[in-house]
Amino acid sequence: MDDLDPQVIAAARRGDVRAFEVIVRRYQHPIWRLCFHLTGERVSAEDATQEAFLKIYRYLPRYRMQSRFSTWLFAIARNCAIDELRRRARRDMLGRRASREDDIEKDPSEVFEVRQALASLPLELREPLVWIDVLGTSYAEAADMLRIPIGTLKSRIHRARHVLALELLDEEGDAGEA
Amino acid sequence: MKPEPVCAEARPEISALLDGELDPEASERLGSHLERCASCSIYKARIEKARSAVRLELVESVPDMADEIIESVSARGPSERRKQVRTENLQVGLVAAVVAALLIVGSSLPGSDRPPAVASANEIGRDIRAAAGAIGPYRAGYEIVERGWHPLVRERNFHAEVAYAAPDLVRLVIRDLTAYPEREGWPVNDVELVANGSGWWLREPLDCPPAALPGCGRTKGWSERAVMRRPPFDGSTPVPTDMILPLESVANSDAVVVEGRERVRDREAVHVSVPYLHAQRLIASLQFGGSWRAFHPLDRVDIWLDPKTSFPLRFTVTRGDSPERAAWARDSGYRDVRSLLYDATLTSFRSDLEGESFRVPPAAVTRDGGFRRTDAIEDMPVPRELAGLSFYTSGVTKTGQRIAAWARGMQWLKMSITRPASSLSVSSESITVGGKVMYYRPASSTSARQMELRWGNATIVLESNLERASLVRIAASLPVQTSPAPRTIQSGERRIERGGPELAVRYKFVSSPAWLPAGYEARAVVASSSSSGTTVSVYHRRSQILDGSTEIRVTHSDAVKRLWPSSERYEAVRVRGSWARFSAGRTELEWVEDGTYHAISAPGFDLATIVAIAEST
Repeated sequence: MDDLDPQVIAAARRGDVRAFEVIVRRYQHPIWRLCFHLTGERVSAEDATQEAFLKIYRYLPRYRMQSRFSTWLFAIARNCAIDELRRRARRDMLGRRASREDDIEKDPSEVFEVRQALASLPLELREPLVWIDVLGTSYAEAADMLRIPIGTLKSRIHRARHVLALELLDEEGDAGEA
Repeated sequence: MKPEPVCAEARPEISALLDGELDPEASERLGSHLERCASCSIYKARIEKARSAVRLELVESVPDMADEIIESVSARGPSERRKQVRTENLQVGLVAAVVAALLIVGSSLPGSDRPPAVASANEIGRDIRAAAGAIGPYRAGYEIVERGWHPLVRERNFHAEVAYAAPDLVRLVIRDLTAYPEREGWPVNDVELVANGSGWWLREPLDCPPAALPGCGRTKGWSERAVMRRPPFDGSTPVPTDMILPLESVANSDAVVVEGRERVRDREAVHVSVPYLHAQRLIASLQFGGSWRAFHPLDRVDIWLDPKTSFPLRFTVTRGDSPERAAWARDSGYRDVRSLLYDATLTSFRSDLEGESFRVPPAAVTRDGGFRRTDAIEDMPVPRELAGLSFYTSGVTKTGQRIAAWARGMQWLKMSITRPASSLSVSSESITVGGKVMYYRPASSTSARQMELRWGNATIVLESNLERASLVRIAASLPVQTSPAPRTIQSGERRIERGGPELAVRYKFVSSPAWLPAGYEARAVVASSSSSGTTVSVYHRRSQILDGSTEIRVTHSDAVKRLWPSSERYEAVRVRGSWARFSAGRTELEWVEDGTYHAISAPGFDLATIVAIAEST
């Protein structure tokens, strides 16, 4: 993912809210999409995105410009989404079952199947696909973000697409091993 | 150059090839294998299709949140950056002293002054529902003991204060009084929730995964979130109320066992028990935010109710004894040596709210719920029957949805009208009363019981915590002409059909269970077809089903020929000679027999019962 002009980042670090606004407008959509696919809910994605940017603003002075800005930024967003996912699992106890199925049932659009199939993958397999296919990062960036060896990432992507192919195309094709 | 790979080595490389992440030498090797191997070529085409589907079809409408974020950052100013993460314990000594000084005030429990005669579970349920319509404002304190949260912490102790004025006017404060083994490193599990009609605010510690404890609590801070202009009785920002009166856990459960009369702290009490699956809302009402241990659906919940007012005086969770429960505990990291896992006891009660504030403070993360109070009710059809509820509020949302709400005591009803008509929940049950077609849906995590009706080009949704029979009467009294919803939805290549048990009969590979636990029968069927085959899900519910979590779902598919690979932990069991896998976490049994996939999901039932259902298909 492309980084911003370092001067904008430096200005935001000094507390320039207008520079920070440039950062928000540049990254809010990919961060929301990451949060949406990790949490599976629009409302949770909005909460996690907002929380992520507040943390980014708070921690910007600590950013030393030694790692890529986007890597640093997305690592914060990912933590916020995972925290939100845990919180929601607890809140779901109040209303019993997870709501993902309900959201999907009500969605009549063409993405129904793909979203359902992606959402039903365990987080371990879903997350690499979100980084690679939804956010368009490279394998190296995604492995770095998930703190797993690149070989592990490669094998998870393969397993995830294998399961998706079974679910989306579910014909008795020669799916082979996982 | 290495030799050409065999299929098992080649296939895992295909994704990396498609993503341009394979080095040139490996790409060439794989390319030459694909040229010769038809099977791997077909496999590649399938993986390519799956990859394109995610890349090209998943384009969501993304909200623009920049203004909200900038406003929030600007409002907090540069001081936000200097602020240290707060981890101090909140006046433990003071709170502990207050707890010690509190006494139950004998005669002022909430609700109507009804005679104390309570005999059967049905009568207890009726009493709770009656109390729910009459309950007034109060403030109550609970002492809570929790065991098993973390292997290094023998037990945790809390004090909870609940202030209740109406279902949307609640304040809950939980203070962590635990003596942790080390002074630092453990997150202080203080939680605070305020709901005041149009606003909702929650403060809780950020979560630490068990593996990161102790230590994580030093670096984690607090999360504060708020919703302003919240729609009435909004399911995505729920307010816990079952500790006020156990409407869902006892009154609306059909699994209550009356254990007899006992005393709790010198008060007369009616003792009932219910499986945890049915009483989750009661336990969760005091575990609303923060970090708490989990329980298994087959754990047992005991509740002691005040016989006059139905107010819960004490509730506990005791470890279940089944082998599935033991497997779940092992997988979840719980030792559970002692059987009593959770104990909440009422320590104080006052029926006035003097000095209580339901003000929603500012929060770092604030969301706009988009509800605007208007006289929308004037243009809406109003049910003639309202089960004694009075008008509460009406208005419109950002998306133009009209909402009206009615309430009495703890009971509430919300009606929303959406134009154009929204698509119907596929697993809802079709009911016809007085010529009106309506679609019933049990409670789920984000909504209470719902009844949906098609009215011209609009959808009317009635949602309520009233029991099903009342909801049916209210829906039938709406002065509108309804029409049936389309039975099918076309989604890309897939056709989804919704119907009653007659729909399942159409498919030869569907074999209905000859045996089901007492009272269960097929209520709704969903068939999802594509060129490769059909998957049929049959939802079995009891006649007065109130909550979706107690349903038994049986799925059959001629489109799935083998069990999907999964990293989940399973137990292997035999079903009519075929091997089946059982997930204790999801309470689901799956197997493939004669080329057809079958699955039974039955939360709250033990493996022996689920296998008995499977064997009877």
